Amino acid sequence: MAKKIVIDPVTRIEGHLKIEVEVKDGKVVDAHSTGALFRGFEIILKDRDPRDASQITQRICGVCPTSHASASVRTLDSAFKVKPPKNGRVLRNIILGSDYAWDHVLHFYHLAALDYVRGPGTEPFVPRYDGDYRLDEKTNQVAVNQYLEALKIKALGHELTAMWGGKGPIVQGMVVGGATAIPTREEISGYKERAKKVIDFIANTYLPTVYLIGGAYKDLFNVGTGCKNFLSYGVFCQGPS
Amino acid sequence: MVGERQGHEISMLDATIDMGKKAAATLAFGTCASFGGIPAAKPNPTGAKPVTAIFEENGIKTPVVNVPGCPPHPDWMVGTIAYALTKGLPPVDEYRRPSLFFGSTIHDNCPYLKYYEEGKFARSYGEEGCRLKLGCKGPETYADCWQRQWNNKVNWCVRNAICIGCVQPNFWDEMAPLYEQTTG
Repeated sequence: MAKKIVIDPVTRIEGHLKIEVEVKDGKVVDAHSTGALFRGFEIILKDRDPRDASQITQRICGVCPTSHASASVRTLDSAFKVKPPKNGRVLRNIILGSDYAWDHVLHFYHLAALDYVRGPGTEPFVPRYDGDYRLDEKTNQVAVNQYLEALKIKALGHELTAMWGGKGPIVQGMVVGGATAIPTREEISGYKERAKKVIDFIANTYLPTVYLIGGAYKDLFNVGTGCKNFLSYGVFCQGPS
Repeated sequence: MVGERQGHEISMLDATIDMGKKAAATLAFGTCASFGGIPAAKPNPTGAKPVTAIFEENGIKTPVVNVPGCPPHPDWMVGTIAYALTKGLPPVDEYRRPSLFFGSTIHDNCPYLKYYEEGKFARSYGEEGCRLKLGCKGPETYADCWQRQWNNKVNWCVRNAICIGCVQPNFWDEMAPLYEQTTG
């Protein structure tokens, strides 16, 4: 007799995912995944002014909006056969890079880590699934203590995005043909000052904690692997091409 | 679908009706909840509707305060909640937006208004001047971004580029094309 297991929602993600699996004699015999927050962005994009695409696609997700803006404007560059000037290319990279910094922190501390780190027994940490929590109390507390600090870093990262992106999340500063801003000396020094704090947190707090927690779950690196071949394309434009 | 209860799927619509009925007041946070927003943009593939429309169709009398924005400013949400808790529901405009935050247009308060009055218009980004010809929706957009700014006052849309009118009921369809002059 097959046993049906339903996990809904799967975890804290934008878009809501549901997984149903049938297990027989300890093996998965059937599985279904459902993306339950369909909005139809591809359909909405049809018949619109193509320049609006970067504003529309960013609204897919508040964790990764700038990646969608970047993909849209680069596609438009290609369609309109325009090459951004150096200022535009570099600024787009900085805006996208700023988003990378805070969205990885957000993804780890506020979305993914709570499957491995047992949060306090109060909202918003409950209700939760009975997780596979393996960390000793002391290590667990280290990660919990960083939760709030990471929120401050996320806000600071948004300030980096906003410096030339206009605001964060969801930026105005990337358009077909380049970026909209001309950086001032004051903005550059403001950016550097904030970036230093974010980079310091990533290097000295975030990454050591990732490795610390990852060490307790080494077996999971071998679960669910496919053919182990991945295609990876760079998203930061390195030169006029 | 937003989840399951006792093995039955719950849609956002079910949750809105279920919780809306019991609430003392409902705060529709963001342009999607307030006015339909991006999922309701033409051709509205999923039949998305604002909270007010769902309440009306289901005879729910719970008062609704709309706090639009895509995204909405955190101060608008915290400010509205704080007002509601300490003084009751805030005074709202014809679209049920708190006048405290959405009381006047971006354009009428814009730091670049003097350029508009002088007839000096920016023709490309980075050029000094009013952003109207670049597509700025400031004249028809009611919000206090000009003063409040974003991300601890680091920047705001018009300084960086243009206003796209994200707090308005006719955002997306009537604001499009975003990068063409449609107003003023």
